[in-house]
Amino acid sequence: MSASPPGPLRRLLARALPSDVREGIVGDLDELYGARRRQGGATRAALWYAGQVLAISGRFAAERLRDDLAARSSSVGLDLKLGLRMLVKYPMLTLVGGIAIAVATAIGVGASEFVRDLLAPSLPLEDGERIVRLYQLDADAGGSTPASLYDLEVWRASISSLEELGAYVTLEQGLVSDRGDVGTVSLARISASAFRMTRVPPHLGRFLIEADEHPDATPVVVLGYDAWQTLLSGDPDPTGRVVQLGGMPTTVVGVMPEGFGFPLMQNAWVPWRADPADLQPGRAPRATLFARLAPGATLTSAQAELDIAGRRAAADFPEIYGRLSPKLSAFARRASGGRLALVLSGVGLLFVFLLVVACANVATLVFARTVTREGEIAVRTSLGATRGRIVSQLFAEALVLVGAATLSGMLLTRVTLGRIGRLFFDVQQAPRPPFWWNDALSPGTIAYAIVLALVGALMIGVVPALKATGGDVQTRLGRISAGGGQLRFGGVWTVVIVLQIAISVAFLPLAVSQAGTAFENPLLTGFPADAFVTAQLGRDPSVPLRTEAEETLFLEGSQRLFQEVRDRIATDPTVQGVALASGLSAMNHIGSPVEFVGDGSSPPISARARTLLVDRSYLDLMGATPIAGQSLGDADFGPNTRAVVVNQAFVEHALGGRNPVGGQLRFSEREGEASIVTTPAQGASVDIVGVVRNPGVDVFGPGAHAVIYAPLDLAPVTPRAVGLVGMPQAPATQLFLRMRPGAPPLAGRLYGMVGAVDPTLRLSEVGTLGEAWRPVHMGSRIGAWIFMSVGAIVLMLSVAGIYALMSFTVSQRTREIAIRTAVGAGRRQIVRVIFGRAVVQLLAGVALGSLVAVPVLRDGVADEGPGSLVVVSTLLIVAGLAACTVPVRRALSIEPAAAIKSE
Amino acid sequence: MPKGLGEFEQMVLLAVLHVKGDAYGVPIVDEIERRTGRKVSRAAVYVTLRRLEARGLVSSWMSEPTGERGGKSRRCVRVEPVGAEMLRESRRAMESMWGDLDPESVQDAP
Repeated sequence: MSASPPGPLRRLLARALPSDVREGIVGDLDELYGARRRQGGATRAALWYAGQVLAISGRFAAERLRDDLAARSSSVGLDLKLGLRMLVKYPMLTLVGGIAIAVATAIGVGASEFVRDLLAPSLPLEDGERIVRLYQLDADAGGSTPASLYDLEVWRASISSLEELGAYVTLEQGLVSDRGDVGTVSLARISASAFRMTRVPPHLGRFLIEADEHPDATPVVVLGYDAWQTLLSGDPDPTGRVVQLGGMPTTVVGVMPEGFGFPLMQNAWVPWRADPADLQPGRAPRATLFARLAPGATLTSAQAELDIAGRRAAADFPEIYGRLSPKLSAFARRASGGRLALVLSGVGLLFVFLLVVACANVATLVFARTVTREGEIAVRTSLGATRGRIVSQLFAEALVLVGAATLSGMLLTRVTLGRIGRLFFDVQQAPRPPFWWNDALSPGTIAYAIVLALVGALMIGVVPALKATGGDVQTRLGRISAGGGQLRFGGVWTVVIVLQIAISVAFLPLAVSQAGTAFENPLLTGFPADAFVTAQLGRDPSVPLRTEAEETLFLEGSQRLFQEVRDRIATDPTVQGVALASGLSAMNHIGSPVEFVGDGSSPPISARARTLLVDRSYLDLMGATPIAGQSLGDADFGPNTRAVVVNQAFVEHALGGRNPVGGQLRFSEREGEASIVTTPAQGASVDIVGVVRNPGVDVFGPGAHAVIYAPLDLAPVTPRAVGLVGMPQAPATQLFLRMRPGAPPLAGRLYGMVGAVDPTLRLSEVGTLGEAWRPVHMGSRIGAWIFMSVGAIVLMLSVAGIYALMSFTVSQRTREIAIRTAVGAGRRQIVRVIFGRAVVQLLAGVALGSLVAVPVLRDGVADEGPGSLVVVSTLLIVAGLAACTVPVRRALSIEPAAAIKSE
Repeated sequence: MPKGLGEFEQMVLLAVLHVKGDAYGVPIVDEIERRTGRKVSRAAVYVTLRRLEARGLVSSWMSEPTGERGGKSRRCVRVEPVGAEMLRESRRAMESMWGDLDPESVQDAP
């Protein structure tokens, strides 16, 4: 009988062991098995043997795994080192590819972070995510509307999921210190509970308390750190000092620490003293409401309680609350989860698109580099390197390039994001960014960039590597030793070349055209924009109009009140002139459709123009003197007015130069625009009495916009039309002042003058026209720079890519060219064949790109577009042809005999 | 600087030195178990021997095939000079750590 261990177990053991120790260990176990079998019988010996086989196999498997991991980690390190060497060895590829990916990353990461900070920021306060904002959803208006102080009272008493409920309104206010320092503060009239809710202790003194809200309490203010620094010169003991706030003596009781700006970016806080008589449903002042979720409460539980309160209010006051439903959301969140995801994915797509374009181009260049390393790759394969090993090496090389570029891109974003944010808020005419704004990149954004970097490295490294390592090693080695590679830029690459040129031709002229428009600034430069002060004039939102009669009275009187303010300011010796016009809210207004009806001899012309309602002084003040017909005269201002004037730009852009004086304009349908005071009523028909020069700047910003100037009395004034209903801050109008040369700043006194006419009026967004528009102009310039950078990168990549592709496709045909020469083909014929193919590819790309670019450019207003189309197309064609020249010359210089011999 | 020896590695090397005649898997395991009075995992001994050989501390050769092993050779091991030096170094390090401590008094120390 055999004393051998069970065969299957023995085979299993033999298979599990490395070959160098296999015989020794199997022999040892055989020896021990024999001994055990003799002592204890076959079964016990077999069981023991099985246990040993399992233990030894497991142990060696673990050992192998450990060795593999160690080997892999050392090979990864080596690959990364080789990748770094490649960066140095091919500096042009590193530079071109690196810049392209870095800029694509910077734009993508920046945009993604910006949107995140803007729409769903996290508050830098203790448990900031538990601070919520409350509002009403208006079923009729289809949007949100502020809640009221009545709601605040009701919810304070009935919602247990919320604590420290409070309300605020914000306004800008002039502040004059007891030592005569004058400035403007961003003021919040706010419930005292806000300070306990934010859990931020004061820097000096105290914050607001409930006792301050009592109507008979001494008026007090808490200042922000920067207001304390600038207006009270950082006085170490500011409490008790009395400042004039909006003309009212107010005692400073505390200073908040640096960086505190709740609710947005405020730097002064006064208690909200609501008159209990005002706290009636439908009449109480509207405000933004805030609260902190009580311990254990969630957004859902608080919303459930709000729903109950909403239903109760709707049952008690169906006329007021029937269409409203109370809602809450994270305090600074400006978009629902779904909308945020939509915007983020939109931005993400842009990023992915940019990155794909950049990576596809870099992949082309890397492929070209891989072609030059084909011999090295084939030799390594024949020496035993697996395909996976070579692909992973090329991936690691790409990862080094993409990783370095992504890191640079993120650093670029980190450096520029804060500036762009500040500029964005400048453009929004906010005095500074909200207090939660920060320059840091969120972990989500960083993770996103890392994932995309990996995807980019896969595109750049793996695709060319797979192509380079495909096929039989022997064949590849054979071809290489015969002097030619097997890699070909075949049909796929022809498509790539054509698409590459097409995208460049389609995109670049648009970029140049857009950038040209943004850099245009013909009027702001020659116009004394800083001599003009502008401000918005409206009602203090925290002083409610109690009855509809009051509303109507205010509306009817508002124009008179505004004119009173104007006349009062005009008496100031530092002021050269004052005018009123409809609001700056038209900043992004693209204009309304109008129809020009001439004298009846030609068909009506449809156009789009912006309409500005102006008072009697506006056109003179802004230097818009008449050049045809007449300006608006006294007789044109009145209840039955029909006269308007248009500017030069209107005549040039909208009417193609026709003289409009004596013709009529009809205002067409409104396309869903809210009816605000800036435009006369739909269907209104007016007479053009004159054409005026383009003023340097008006409410539409610098530049020659087609504008219709109509008398302020032309617009229908109804509560809904001026937006008074449901909106605390309307109506408003824009005040324009021209200061006398060398006059001291007026801002501080301006608040006093306005308050003296009517204490319920307030000024906001006070600044010079230069200050008002320069950031906007700067914003469009930055946009233009981004456009130009992307354009320049696309061009750089295109030229490099096309050069690489062309030069490689031609160099692959070196042998063919030499043989053709050997069999008698003329040089001219060969050049024609090679260049013919290149020209076809280049022209096909240009034609395809032009198909997209030309119709878009035709609609554009800038003149640079068509010119740049020609420039870009020529540049690409020249690059492509230049790329063919060197290899063709080389091929033609080969001796035919040598070519045939090598074959 | 070469990696020092672990406790188990020292035991295996010392067992190789103690075994009279050919030192291979079976007597090495027996030697460790006899001297320490502990059960030893055979698999651990084989893996350790392989690692020590990879580090050049031991070397191995195949003996003549024997009948009791089903015609298989023994993988015999011997300690190389560098392995012996590392053993001495390990012992010196341990003795230096013990110094003049009385092994009996160690348990009484606070």
